[in-house]
Amino acid sequence: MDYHARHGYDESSFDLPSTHRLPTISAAEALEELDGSDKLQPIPTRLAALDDVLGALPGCAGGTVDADLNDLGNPGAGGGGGGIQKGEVTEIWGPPGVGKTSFGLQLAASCLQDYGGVVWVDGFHRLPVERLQSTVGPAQDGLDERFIHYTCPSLAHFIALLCRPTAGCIPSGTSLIVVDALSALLSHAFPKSLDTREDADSKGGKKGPPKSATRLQVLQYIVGGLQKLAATRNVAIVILTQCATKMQADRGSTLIPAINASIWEQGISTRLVLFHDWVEDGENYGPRHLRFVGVQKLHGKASDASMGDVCAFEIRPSGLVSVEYDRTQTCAALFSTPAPKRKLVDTDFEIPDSDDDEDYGWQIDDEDLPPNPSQWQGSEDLLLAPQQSDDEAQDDNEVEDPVAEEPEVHKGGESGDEL
Amino acid sequence: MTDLVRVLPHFPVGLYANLILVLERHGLTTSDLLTLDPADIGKRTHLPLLDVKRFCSAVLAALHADLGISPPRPGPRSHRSGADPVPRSGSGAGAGAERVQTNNQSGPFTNALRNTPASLASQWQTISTLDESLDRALGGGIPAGYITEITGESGAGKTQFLLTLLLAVQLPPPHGLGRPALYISTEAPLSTRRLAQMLNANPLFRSMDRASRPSLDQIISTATPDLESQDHILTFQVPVEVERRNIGLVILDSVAANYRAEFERSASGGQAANMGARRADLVRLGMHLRELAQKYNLAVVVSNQVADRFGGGGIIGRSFKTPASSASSRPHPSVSNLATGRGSLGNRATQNSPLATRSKPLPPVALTAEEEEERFLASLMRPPPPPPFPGDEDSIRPQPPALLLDHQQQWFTGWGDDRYADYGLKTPSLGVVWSTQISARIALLKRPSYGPKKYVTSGKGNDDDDDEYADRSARGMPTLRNWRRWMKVVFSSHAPASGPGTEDAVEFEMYMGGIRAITGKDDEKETKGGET
Repeated sequence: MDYHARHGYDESSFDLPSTHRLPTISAAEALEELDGSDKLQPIPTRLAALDDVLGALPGCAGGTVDADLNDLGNPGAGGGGGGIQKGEVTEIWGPPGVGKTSFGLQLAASCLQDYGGVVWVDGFHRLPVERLQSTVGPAQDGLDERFIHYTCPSLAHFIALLCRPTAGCIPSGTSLIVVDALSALLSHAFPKSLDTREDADSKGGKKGPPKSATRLQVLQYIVGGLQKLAATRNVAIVILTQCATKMQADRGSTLIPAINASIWEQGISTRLVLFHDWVEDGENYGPRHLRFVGVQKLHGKASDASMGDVCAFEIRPSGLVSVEYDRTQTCAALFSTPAPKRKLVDTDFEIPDSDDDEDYGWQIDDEDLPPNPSQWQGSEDLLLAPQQSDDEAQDDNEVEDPVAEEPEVHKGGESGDEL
Repeated sequence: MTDLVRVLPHFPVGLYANLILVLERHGLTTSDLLTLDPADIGKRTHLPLLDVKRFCSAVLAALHADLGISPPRPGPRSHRSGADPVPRSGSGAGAGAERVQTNNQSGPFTNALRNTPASLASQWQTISTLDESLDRALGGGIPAGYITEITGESGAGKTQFLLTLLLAVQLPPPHGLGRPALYISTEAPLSTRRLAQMLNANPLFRSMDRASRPSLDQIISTATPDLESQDHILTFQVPVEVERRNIGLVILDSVAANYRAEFERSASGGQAANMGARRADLVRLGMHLRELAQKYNLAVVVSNQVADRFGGGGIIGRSFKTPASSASSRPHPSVSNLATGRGSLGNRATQNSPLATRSKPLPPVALTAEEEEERFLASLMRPPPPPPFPGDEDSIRPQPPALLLDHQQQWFTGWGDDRYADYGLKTPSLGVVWSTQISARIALLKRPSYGPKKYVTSGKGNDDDDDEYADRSARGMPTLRNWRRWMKVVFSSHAPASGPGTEDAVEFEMYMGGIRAITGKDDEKETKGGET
């Protein structure tokens, strides 16, 4: 605004009026800010275990407080002062119906309780407002001023709103911006098609860069704009993303976030994944279904394993509540369907020669056995020593009972493979 | 600008006609206009820079106005604190020019893009199912402004459910919206006989007087036998009808039928490209339906078919410890995440690597859409085509086993979240892509109920001994007496999901007047009414 006051509104000027530089402050001011103010207080998620994991940035007020695990879901009491950091972009993804919107609502409610402002941007389906009201609870005064909701019908609207914001887009005093289903807008604007030959546009004329490059460039712009917005306005930006599938070589189809680009991942500082799973429940004797939050990237550092710490929660009408479960129990799945039979060609079995059935596969030339002494009439006392070649034993066994004997021989190999 | 008209219908295109022509030829979209530097655009298109800059800022200002945000100029207007929603307005000529906000769109169709909770609450409306328990499970009914999917096997009662909604929407609020309905069918035509039956037999309708009762006149129906006509009708004709008659409910019966017919018929060679095209089609369809729903505040209900899910044998015997447990010292959950015989391809991938599918013909098994697509994509690996989005593949590290599709889909498909049931599992068609386009999924589950055979027919013509023996042993043997049906909310943005299996699902039955929930154990109730 200073720029325009000084220079006026000159349309033909190519100077950039937007402050793409962060405002400069002296070091003393910065230190003062860090120490005393609660501007950098993270927004608690109200899931005690998750808040612990998310932690607080060092030097922030209210850093390490022992989490009171008995206060499950108690707003303000649980958590070690950790939560979603302001000034950073966080991504939360998961399969449909797992609770992403509920998570966003929980954050919004927690932010509203501390009298911060919330801006909710819907990319696809609108937020059902009664859920907001039930999550926020009785503290509803002034809700209309502090909770602003935008619907973005297209990607262009979204870019205009958040990446090229005017002063009126995000009111001052906002602490949290939640973007629901940005992936839907992106996948509509850039449909993923396996046919890369579509770039040969039949319209003629010059072709621009291929769709994929455009998509990456737009993603880069968006993530840069969001980072800038988060840093300059000191808001936490939470992006709720849908999932897509991807084939992994050894395991089959697996879920991945719908926006998968390295440029995007570099811009996201924290990434959480929500998923369902079974957990062995001691009291009910049976597996119990819980929803989990996994931390895949924290404050810019990707976890070494593909999923870091995991916390469990359930969805209630009043929001999410943390659930304690027995972490040492493995959930033994119930196998009612046996493992599929292997095809014969996949095994190491030797298929008996079926050409001469009458001979039962006796090998005519038996080089392995020592030559029989003269006038040998056969004896049952001749026990083949076990050190003798396995082939020989196998041959004999296989002839008599090809099915029953073999599994024993190969069992060691099988279980070795399984592990 | 190919999509400028769609994104900003009220932009004064005439002022920038020459610019737009050139930009369109270069394939620039509105997002490009916003994200690229005007200098870059000028370089590519050889247009005068000043014009490009003016145009870009005009587009940006129009978008901001669309969103209901006041212009950046220090003007007298400040729309920020909004108890009243700012109506969607047209745009002025440019940022430099005087801002003229004209209300181009009027009437009941405007839906502001910027809202407060109060205004959102005022726009919330639902269509009742005419039964209390069902409504309670759905959080009031089918909401307007969202896409709801109803899925289930054939004979589960989907079409009955939809017919009930067709009548209910005509009732005044709170039961309905007081607006007519549109029924698009892809398979069987609308069953008017059944509708008339329902009108006559339903107690709620009977209690109303003739004038205010819903009528069949308020239901418009059309049939779309194939995908092309479906696309055309949905894109061009439905919006016209909706606007003309103020339609409150659009029903698309069996969104899957045309897609399955169209995309499965082609030869296996082109199927990968087909799958990609199908996915793009579904995304476009979802976007279009959602635009309709939000712009006109109507409810869109689609019905979906299911495919069998085969237990091909899971990765039995492995217990996957989450990788964190090995990495850190803290005890972590060692959850064994198995595709326990539910996933049809859970083990197939380990048995045959994707490359091996080239040599063997695929068995005719109902594969899920993504797996089909990925499988064929993998089979095209030699020679490797350029990946669709180069540079992306490296960024994905292997995901933990908990995120396997077969495992996670137990919870968002509606079948499989009951731990002990491993038979009769179904998967709704059109895969994860469609599941991400809908805002709520309702599954209608159907289970047989057996009872002793009461009557045994004796074959009059045959005097075989076998027949007599069969009669004797058949008496008292279990036989299929009845089907029991449940309505289960699989996931929904506005109602709590039902528990595992049929725990929290509402059992219902079909009768002459529609559907109604069964309260209490009533095994003697016979189902009447038509079944599809």
